[in-house]
Amino acid sequence: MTVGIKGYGVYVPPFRIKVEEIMQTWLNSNPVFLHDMMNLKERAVCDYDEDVITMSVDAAKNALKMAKLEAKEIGAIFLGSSTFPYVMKPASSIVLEALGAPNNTFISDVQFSGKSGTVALQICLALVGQKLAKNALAIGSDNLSIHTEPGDSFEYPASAGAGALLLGEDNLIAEIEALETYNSDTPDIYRLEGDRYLTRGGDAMVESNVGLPSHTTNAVNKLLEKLGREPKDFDYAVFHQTYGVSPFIIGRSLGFQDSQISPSLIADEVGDTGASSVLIGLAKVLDEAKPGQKILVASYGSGAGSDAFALKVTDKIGSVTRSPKVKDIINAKTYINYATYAKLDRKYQRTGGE
Amino acid sequence: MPSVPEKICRMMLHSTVKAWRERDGRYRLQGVVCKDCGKKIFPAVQICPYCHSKNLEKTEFASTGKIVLSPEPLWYPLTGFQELLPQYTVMIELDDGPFVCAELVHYPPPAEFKEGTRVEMAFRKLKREDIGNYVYGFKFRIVE
Ligand SMILES: [Zn+2]
Repeated sequence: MTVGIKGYGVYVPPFRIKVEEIMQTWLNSNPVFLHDMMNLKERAVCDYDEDVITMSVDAAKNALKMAKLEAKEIGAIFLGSSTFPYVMKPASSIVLEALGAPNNTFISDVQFSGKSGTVALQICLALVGQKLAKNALAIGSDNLSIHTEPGDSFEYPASAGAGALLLGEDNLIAEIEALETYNSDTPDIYRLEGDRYLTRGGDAMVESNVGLPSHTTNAVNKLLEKLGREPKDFDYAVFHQTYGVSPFIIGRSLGFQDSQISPSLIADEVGDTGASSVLIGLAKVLDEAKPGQKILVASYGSGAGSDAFALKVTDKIGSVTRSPKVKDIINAKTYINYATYAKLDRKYQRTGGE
Repeated sequence: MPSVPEKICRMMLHSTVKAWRERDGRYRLQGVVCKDCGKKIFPAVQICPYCHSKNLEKTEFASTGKIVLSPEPLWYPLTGFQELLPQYTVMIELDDGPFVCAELVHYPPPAEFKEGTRVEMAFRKLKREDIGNYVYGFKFRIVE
């Protein structure tokens, strides 16, 4: 039997900061570049009491609600993130108990920067395929904003969000047809032990095509070869979104049309949500997908690697209730200024004590 | 010293035991139902305060309810929570009966809520303990 998606859920924190607001503080960019060239208007910021774990729980609850499944029926939870609150102590164990899943559920945290979410998906896929779990939750969740240095150019897109996919073998809304991956040792963006802020391996690594474009292209081409398909055989293509323009650059170079990519676009309004980027993009596509349509998804994680997989939407998609829709989650927002963002993300020094 | 400088309340005990023991209640609103007098009790207790029975069963209560008492928001800092102002603490009647005193999250903006406003549980980070670990638990958000 094929393994596929039974339900999906998304969470994006409602606080937004406009790129102009960051620009007014640092004067290190310009509106034409960010709006017109990078396609970035604003991005999300976590509230004080939100982090990778709370966002994961919200996204997972939405996924369970869609699949009309009790938490007791979950057999595996894999949480992918590059910004776990604890360095040592699983975040997935907190998610497990917050959802009320059984204690003998297979759980773990996985980390592969921006593609942590799809790595979690691979593990869940294998567990369900091997009948070790009937229902498996793959979650990607990241709070890049809190780990980005003030004044860094990555401060404009660095955002936060979570996406969850519930995998299983019955009542599928989309079947996973094939999966490919491409990885190499590429130090483009990293964060060292004890470091709060992530480091970029210089413009030669980040702005050139050695990272995101090269890995995604290799993974996608391998997948197309495996399936014997061409880009035009897919109705939608979902790529990792650092900026709003990134998926179009990759898509065009692979031979996809802009119309295949634009339904998944989220980064123009929420920024780079890291490990959840492609999961939220995929959820946005599934919100409007019709039975029989084919979707290609390719994530990217710095360091570096890309996972590409192909999905086929089933007839069940027509009968699921999507509440809330990804669009509604993105539109539920309130703007904050730079000072409030600095406070919420605790971008200050504290000398200690009360 | 954690790299993210969050406020840590120094008055709390140097132990994670209490928070750990009470986590089911904080994470999923698990309380008890008295099998002798039928009262629903939250947070969980060992002995029924109504009939003194020890015959109690653990139950998860509804994650939705309505606000029944909404005092003015708290604009002065409580020790350990100086960064969370304003704090909207309300009394909530859950859909299956028990009352819960809980904080509202900041979005949707709780500025215009009144008695009867519908709320649902949200899983949030409540505080950090003295030794640095995070304590998670319930808050509530307004549902339109
Ligand atoms: Zn009793």
